[in-house]
Amino acid sequence: MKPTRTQKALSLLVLLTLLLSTGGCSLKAELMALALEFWPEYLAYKLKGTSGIPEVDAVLEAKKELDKIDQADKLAAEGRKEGDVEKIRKAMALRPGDWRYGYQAGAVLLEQGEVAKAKDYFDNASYGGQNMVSVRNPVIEGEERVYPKDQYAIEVLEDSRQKMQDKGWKSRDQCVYTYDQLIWHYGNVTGIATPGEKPKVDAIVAQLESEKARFCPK
Amino acid sequence: MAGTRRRSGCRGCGCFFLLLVLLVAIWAALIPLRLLERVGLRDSAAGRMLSNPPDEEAAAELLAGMQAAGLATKGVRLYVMPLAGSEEVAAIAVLDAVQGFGADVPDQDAILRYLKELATGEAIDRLGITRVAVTYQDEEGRALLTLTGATNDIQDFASGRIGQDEFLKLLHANIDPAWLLKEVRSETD
Repeated sequence: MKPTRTQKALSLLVLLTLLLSTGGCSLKAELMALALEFWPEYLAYKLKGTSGIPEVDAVLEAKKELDKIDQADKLAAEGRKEGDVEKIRKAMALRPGDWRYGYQAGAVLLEQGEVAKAKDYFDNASYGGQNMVSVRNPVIEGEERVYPKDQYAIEVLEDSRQKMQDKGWKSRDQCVYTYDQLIWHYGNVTGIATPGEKPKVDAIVAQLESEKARFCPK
Repeated sequence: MAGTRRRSGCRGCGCFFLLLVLLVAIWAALIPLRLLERVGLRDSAAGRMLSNPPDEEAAAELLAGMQAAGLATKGVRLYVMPLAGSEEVAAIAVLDAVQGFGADVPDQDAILRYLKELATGEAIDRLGITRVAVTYQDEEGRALLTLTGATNDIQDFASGRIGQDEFLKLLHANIDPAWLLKEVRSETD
């Protein structure tokens, strides 16, 4: 005689109980046990279309967005390495709110001497989206607070400045804009710097001002 | 006459039934199937709230903490995401079988252990992480199960302030229904 659905479900539950109670459960068995435990709640979530908490909904459906981050990061890294802005634009299309790609596209264009185009990307990256205060990632070693956006821009611009200096500046505009951007981002850091940080950031800004006057072609 | 009345009644029933089917179809397309999000007419909650860049350094710090706690980190991808439009910061671990997760994990309560270790990591409060999630992704790249909870709740469970039954009620889950149904069918056959 064929078992009924109820009998099948019961035998499955007994099987899972046995699996779990013996302590020898595999990862798959644990996954299944948890999935069955949460099945009614999952159904309610799907039927309503929300858990009622936006943060929970975002995290529960995060997988697709996380895959996009990986894909866009890969594209942007390739674009930066190869000097291919088109690849970074594709990354931006995948993740429009992720301002890191704007700075990367700006840096590539700046290195190519396209200062006006670079400016658009830097401006969009700097003024669009959120700039969260972070408690780590200090620009100044040993200190603790900085805006991630400014820190990221500083990292990207410092890297570009090094490359452009090594190759020789293509134009005065390229040099001045690079230093101005660096000074501005360090200036933002000064605005939120702790009393311990401020003199160090001020010293960096003064150094940049002096280098701009000395190195930028007349 | 009687025949006419019956035909008219049937027509009414048919219309009502059709309307009902139509309403159910619209509801199914909009809510469970999320058609508007699939065709790009509306952003999903994830698309909206995970639009900020991930905090890579925070993720590296947490991953190092997990390693120090003795958890296998091969195939574990960790993202720390400040949620846009919210004060919350989420740490999301993807246990990725494609990248080799699973070979060296302890057998018992692996998923819950990752959740606990993430939420009780030394850096978690300093990094301001308010929500923790663990997703298991199988060899075919499907997210089979995602569990998420508030950091405080998981810390309460880890310290024994609440029991497992109460704790599980505080978690939220997403499941790949196709996978679960297939597994259930293969177990019962």
